[in-house]
Amino acid sequence: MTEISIARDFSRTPGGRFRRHGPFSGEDFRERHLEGALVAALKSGEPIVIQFDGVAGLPSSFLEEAFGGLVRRHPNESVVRLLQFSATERALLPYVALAKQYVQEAAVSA
Amino acid sequence: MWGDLGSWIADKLLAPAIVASIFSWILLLVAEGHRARREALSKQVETVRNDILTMWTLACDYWSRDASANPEDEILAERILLAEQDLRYSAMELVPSLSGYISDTEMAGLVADVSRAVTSGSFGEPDRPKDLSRLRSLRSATVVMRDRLLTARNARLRVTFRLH
Repeated sequence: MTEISIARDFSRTPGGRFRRHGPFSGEDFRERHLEGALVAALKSGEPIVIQFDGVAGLPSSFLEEAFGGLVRRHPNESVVRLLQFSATERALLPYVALAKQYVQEAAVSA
Repeated sequence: MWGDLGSWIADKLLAPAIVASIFSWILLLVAEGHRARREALSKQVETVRNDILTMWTLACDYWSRDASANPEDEILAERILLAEQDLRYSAMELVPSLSGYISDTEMAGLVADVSRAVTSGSFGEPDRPKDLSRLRSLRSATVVMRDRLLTARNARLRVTFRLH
């Protein structure tokens, strides 16, 4: 299992969708952290757990680009199964719900 | 004779009076507890409604104009993220008070729909066009959330009242 903490490994205050619009974008997170982890996870079969604890706030556009974008670029049934989302802070559970929504929607449209 | 009178007073007057006083006192405590819980819950729900209203006001300002038409567009986007944070906290903190009537998962879904209506798409992008359809999505999400909260609160209060 690979755990990626958005707050610890990337930023406590992630930005918007694309890198060209500012730092810590969803595109940046996907390319720097998710793509490599996914390649390894597809080989090993071990899940990637995305940890939301510690983030101060996330635009939905960040989540869509990072997770929906990942599924669109890797239209493989295993990707949905390998991506897991976690938050122990109750106030961050809406982000877990949103990330799952975006993954499911991208999987359906892929 | 005085001894008999004393016993009679103690048995027939004093004891029932003491029992009645204790009973009234317990009833008063229970009623006061119920009132305090009711007020606390209503206050929490009111906070969530105010946070929704703040989001709505900021979102109207943001999505009714192109980004290029507002020199403070970036600041407005930050204010929306702050308002979204307030809403997430107030709504999710309400769940323990509505335990049994709304779950963490359901509340998270309701908040997610509101967040999505406001901060998805081209949110935060400097070339963002205005998008009034987002206000309709937000109105829809907030109506669903508000109705669900009020239903859960009323159900919770009805049970509290019945128990006491």
